Amino acid sequence: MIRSILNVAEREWQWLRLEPKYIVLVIVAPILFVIALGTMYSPKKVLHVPIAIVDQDHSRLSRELTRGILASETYSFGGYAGSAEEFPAWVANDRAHVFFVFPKGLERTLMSRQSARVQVLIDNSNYLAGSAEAGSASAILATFSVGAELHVIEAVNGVPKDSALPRAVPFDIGTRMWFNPAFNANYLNFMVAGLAYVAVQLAGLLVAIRAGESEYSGSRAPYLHEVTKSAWAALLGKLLPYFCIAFLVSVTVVHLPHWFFGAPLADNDLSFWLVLAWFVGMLVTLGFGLSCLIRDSLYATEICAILTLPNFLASGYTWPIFAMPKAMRILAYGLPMNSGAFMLRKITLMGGTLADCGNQLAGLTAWSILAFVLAWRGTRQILKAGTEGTVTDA
Amino acid sequence: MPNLWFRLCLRELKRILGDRRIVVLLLGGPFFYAVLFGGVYWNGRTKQVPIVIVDQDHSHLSRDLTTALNASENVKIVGWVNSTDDLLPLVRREIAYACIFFPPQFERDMLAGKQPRIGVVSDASNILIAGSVANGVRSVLATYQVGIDRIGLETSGMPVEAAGISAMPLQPAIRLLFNPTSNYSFFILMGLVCIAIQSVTRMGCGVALELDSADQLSRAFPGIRLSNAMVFASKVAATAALALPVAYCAIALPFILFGAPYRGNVFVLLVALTVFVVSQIFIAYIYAYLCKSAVLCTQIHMFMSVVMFTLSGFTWPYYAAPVAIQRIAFLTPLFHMNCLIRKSALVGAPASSLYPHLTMLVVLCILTGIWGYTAVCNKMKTDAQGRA
Repeated sequence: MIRSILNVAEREWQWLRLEPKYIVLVIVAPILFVIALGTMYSPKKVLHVPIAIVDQDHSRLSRELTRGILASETYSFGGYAGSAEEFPAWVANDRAHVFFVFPKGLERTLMSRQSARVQVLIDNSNYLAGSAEAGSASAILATFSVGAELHVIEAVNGVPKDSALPRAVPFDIGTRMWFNPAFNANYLNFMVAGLAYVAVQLAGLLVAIRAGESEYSGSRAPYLHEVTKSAWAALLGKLLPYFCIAFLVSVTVVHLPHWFFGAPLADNDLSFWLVLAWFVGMLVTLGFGLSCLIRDSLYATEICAILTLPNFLASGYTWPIFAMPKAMRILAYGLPMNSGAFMLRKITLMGGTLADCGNQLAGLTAWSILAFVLAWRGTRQILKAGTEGTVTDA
Repeated sequence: MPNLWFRLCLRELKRILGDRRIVVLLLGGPFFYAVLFGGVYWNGRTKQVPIVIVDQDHSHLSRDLTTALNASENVKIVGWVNSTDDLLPLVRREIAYACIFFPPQFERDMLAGKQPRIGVVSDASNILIAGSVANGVRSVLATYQVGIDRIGLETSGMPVEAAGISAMPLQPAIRLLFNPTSNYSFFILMGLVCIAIQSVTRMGCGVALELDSADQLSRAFPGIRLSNAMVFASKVAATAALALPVAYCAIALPFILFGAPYRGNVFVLLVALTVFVVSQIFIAYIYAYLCKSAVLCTQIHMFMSVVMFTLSGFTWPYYAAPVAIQRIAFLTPLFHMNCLIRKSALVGAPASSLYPHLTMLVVLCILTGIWGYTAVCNKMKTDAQGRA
C-alpha cells in the first residue's frame, strides 16, 4: 500500500515538473500577498492624518491646544483654514480630513468660568480613519478638559490638589484589551493574520486544481490504473505532493506577519499544527475533487474564485458574525475559510484549544466530508476511465 | 470596413455569451458580490455586542450603571460572572466578547470622594468588536461622570449652574461628517463593488482572449486579411458592450438597494466608471498574454483581488500607508476609482475636485490601452507562428 502511494506520488511529482509555473505561482503568490499586505498595515495605526486648524480666538489657550493636537502622532498639520465651511472643500482636495475649530472668545469664556466649546469636524467617509481620528481628538481634548477642570476646582473651591483630581475624574476606567495588547486600533495584528488565511486558502485550493482534469487528457503516461488499482493508494498518492507543497507554503505564510512585522502568534501548541494540517488537507482534497469531477481546470478555478473572493469579508473575520442578518450568519459559518481561520485565531491569539472550537469543528468536519466524497468519487472515475480505455488521447 | 468590424464584434459577443465560464463571471459576478456584501453589512453598525458583568459591589450605583449599559445599543448583557477570569472561555466560545467589572466598595469609594476604577476587559482580536464595546461603555460612563461631578461640586457649596459648567469646562463637539451614523456599509460597499467589477472583468476578458486564436479568426473570416487594430478594437468594443451595463447596474445597487447616500455628480461617476472598466479590459489582455494560460491568468487575478482592494486605500486610508505603497497605489486605476466614488458619493465633492482622479484614470487607460494592444498583436503573431 505504502509503495503504491509513493509510486503515485512520484508520478504526480514528475508531471508537476513539466509545468512549473503553476507551482511557482502557488508558492510565490501567497508569500508576496502577505508581504504586500503586511507592509500596507505596518504602521499598525492610522497615523499622520492631515488636519487643519480654524483659530478664530488667537489666544494663548488656542495656541496651546494647537500644540497639544499637533504633538499627537495621529495628526499632521495640513494648514490653517478660515472657517468651518471650508471643510468639505479641504476633504475633497485631500488637504485635511479633520478640522479643529476654536471659536472666538474661547479663552475668555473659559476664564469667566463658563463652558467653552471646541468644534471638531471629522471626515467619516472612511469609518476606520474616522474612528481613529475621533478617538484621538477626544483623548486630547479630555486631557485639556481635566486640566482646566482641576484648575477651576482648585482655584474656585479651594480644594487641595490631591482631592481635586478624583473630583475632576470621578471614575477611572481601566481598560484591558485581550489578544491584541497594543490595541489602539492596531490593524496589523487584527487584519494581516486574517488575510494570511486567504492566501492559505487560495494556495490549498489552487495547487491541486489541475490534478484530476489532467488524468483525462491522455497526456500522462503511465496511466493511473497502471500504477495502482487501489483507489485509496491512488487518492492518497495524488494528494501527497500537493499537500506537502500547500502545507509548507501555509506554514510560511502564517508565520510571515510574525517574522517580518512582529504580529503575535502562539504556535507552540500541537492544536495549531493539527488544525493547520487539517485545514490545508481539506482544501487540497476539495481542489482535487472539483478538478476530477468538473474535468475542466478553468471552470474548477472559477468555482474556487466564487468560493474564495467574498470569503474574507463574509466569513466574519472582520465584520462580526453576530452583527450580520440571520440568513448571512448561516452563510458565514458555511464558508470554508470561517472554520479554519477562526480555529487558528482562537489557538494562536487566544490560547484556546480544540475544545473551544465547537461551531468551527462542525464546519471543518462538514467541509472535510464533502471534499473527501468529491475526491473519492473523482479518483474512482479516473481509475474506471483508465481501465475502460475512455481516456482521451492527447 | 465598418461592416467587417461589426461582424468581428458580433463574433466576439457570440463567443463570450456562448461560453458559460465567461458569461457567469462577466455578467453574474458583480451582481452576486454586490448583493452578498450588501447582505453581510446590512445592519450597518456593530451593535449589541454580547458582554458579561462582574459586579463585586452589589450596590445601587453598580446596578444603575448596569441598567444604563444594557440600554445602550452598542452592547447587550448576556450574563453575570464572578470574576474576569470567567470571560476567557466565554470569548473562546463566542458567547461574550467583553466584561465590565465593578470592584468591591465601588459606590462607597465614590461617595467618599475617592476615584474608584471600573474595569473593562475586551476581546481586541477583532477591532470592530472592541471599538464598539469601548464606545458604548465610554458614552454611558461619560454621562454618569458629568452627573456625579456636578453633584459633587454642588454638595461642596457651588451653585447648580456653575457646577454644571465646571463639570465639563472644555466641551469637544465632535461632528462626524459625510457618514454621521458611522454606517459600515455606506463606507465599504461601493468599494467592494468596484473590486468585484475589476476582478470579474479581468478574469472574464482574460479567459475570452486566451481561448481565442489567430487560427480561429482566420477560419471565421476566410480569405479576409484582418488588421490587428481592427481585431483589438472589436474585442474591446464587444466586451465593453457587455461589461459596462453590468458595471452601471452593479454600482447602482449600494445606492438603490442598500440605501447608501449619493451626493455627487452622476455624470462624472459614469464617465469614470466607463474609463475604469475599459482599462480593466486592457489590463486583462496584458495578463492573458503574459500568462499564456487562461487558468494561470485566473489564478493570478484571484490572488491579486484582495491585495488590490487593500492597496486602493478604501479601508486602510492611503495617507496612513508607507510612502512606497502610496506610490504603487497611485498607479492603479482602482485607487483613483475608489477615491472618486467615495468623494462623489459621500463627501459630495464638486466635479472640479474629481478631475485629478479622472485625469489619472484616463492616463492609465491610455497607457494600458497601448500595452493591451501590443499584447493582442503579439498574441496574434505568436499564434500565426505556431500555426506555421
